Amino acid sequence: MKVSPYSPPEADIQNPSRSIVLKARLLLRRRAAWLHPWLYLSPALLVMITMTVYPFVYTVILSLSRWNLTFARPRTFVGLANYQAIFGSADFWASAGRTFWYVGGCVSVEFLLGILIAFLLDTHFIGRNLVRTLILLPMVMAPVVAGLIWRFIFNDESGLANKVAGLFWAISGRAWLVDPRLAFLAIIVADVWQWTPFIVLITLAGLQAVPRELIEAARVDGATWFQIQRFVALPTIRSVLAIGLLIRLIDSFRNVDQIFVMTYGGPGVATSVLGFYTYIKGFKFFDIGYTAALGIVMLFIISLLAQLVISMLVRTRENRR
Amino acid sequence: MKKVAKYLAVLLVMAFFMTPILWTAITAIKPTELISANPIVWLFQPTLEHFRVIFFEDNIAAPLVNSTIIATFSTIGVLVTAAPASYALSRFRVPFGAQLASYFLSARMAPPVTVVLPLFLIFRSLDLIDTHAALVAAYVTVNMPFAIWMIKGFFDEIPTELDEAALLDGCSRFHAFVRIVLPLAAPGLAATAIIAFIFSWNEFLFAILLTNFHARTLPVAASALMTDRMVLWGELCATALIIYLPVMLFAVLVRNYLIKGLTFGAVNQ
Repeated sequence: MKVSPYSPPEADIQNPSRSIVLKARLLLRRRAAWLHPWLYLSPALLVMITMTVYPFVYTVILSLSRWNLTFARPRTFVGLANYQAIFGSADFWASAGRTFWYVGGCVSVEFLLGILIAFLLDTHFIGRNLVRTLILLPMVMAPVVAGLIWRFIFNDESGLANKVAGLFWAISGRAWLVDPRLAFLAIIVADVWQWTPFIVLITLAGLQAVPRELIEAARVDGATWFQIQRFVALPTIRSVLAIGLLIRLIDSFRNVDQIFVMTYGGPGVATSVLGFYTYIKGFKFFDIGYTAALGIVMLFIISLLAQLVISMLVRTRENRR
Repeated sequence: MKKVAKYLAVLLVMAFFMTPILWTAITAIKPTELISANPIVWLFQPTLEHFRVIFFEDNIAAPLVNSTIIATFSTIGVLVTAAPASYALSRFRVPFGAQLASYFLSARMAPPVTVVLPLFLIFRSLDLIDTHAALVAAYVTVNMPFAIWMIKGFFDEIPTELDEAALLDGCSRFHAFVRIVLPLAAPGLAATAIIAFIFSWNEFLFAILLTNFHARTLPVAASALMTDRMVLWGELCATALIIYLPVMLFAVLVRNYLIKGLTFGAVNQ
């Protein structure tokens, strides 16, 4: 007999011919209400436990061991030796320094450019909607594809960068990705190209929420355009910008895709940021223990930033309600 | 005068952001001997030669199929796990619910290079390296957290009175979820699915480390076109276009949700 999902289970129970399943369902509804959310959460929790909790514990154990896949030696427990090796290594500190300049360079340029462009696109002009749609296109390009395209542009023989530069300055054949300083600049340009639109779009979204009366009032009081943007618009969108800043800090810190195909950390180690350094240790030298420890160190740095951004996200959610 | 300056500024901005994309498109249909020509050759007979080479000589069809399978199944996996979890976090008072939601999100922010190391070793011992399943599992894990946050936002906008009315009518919780809340959130779910698809489609680091040949995806195939000896720019740009075009269309489709997805639901466009 087919049971309509809309018929009350109470009515079903009164009929002795109904199955035990319905009784169980009723019992579940009354007695085990606490279990309900966990039933809905269980698929997600299963994924998280098998794919994040277990691998994390495994990584911690690995970080305390010596294990290199290229040698046939078994895994041995070495305590904190890997961490000591990391913090005593000049390579690590050099890479950390490069990461600092890379993240700082990317994020500061993206914010400066992004906010300025957003102010520009917030005004009225013909084709505004088209421009606002087109500007999101760099963001959705696969970072590795963006890296390949920028490598093509910075190519010393056939690249567009040299051709454009040749129009303004009498230089030719500049080897962008071979010169350490220029290569570092090039990987920043690729990230700036891809993620400035993100800042533009969140700033535009924030600006929409700025009360028009506030701007009108400022204008009546004789404020200039610049003063309105600086003292009225910017303070109101501060929380949106803070969230964007933290997300960009985290993502540019994690990013390795573009570097992987543009420079492969080179020339030498000029563009080997922490993410790439970890990759080389783990998947070129298969020094598993050391790599696991590096991973834990990176995770620690990121979780500091992540805690900040998550608490801000929670706060904006609560404010909206 | 001021107006002219403004339009010039907009033009300059567009030039910077659009040139790499247009340059790739132009190079993809340019005859090989003209690609490196100096000065730039603007007028040429367009050719599909590079596309012929990548499809019939480099066999890009196999990675294309792999990418489609992996992105599709991981997107389904994301929806199936994230939608019920979002419903629980939106409708029930879950003990430690807020901490749980935060924990989900922190998993999204972990450096991929950290996450991939244990996964690589685990999949290696299970003999799952170079299988579609390994990448699908990895992408479900990486994309589920943002999906939970995004979908929870959509569920929160649906009045709880609707579920309660259904419950009073004798509808079970599960039916209220499937028949009332899910259909009402359909546009949001579709947008979430498309964004999850884009993320999986574009992913590179997991793909290069967890696959060799059999399950190789498009971004890995693209990076393999660059060898130490020489780079075939024409073929590379053609491959880049194959990877990029579907994503471009999707992005325009979900443009109003994209920022929401990238900020975990914090910023509305």
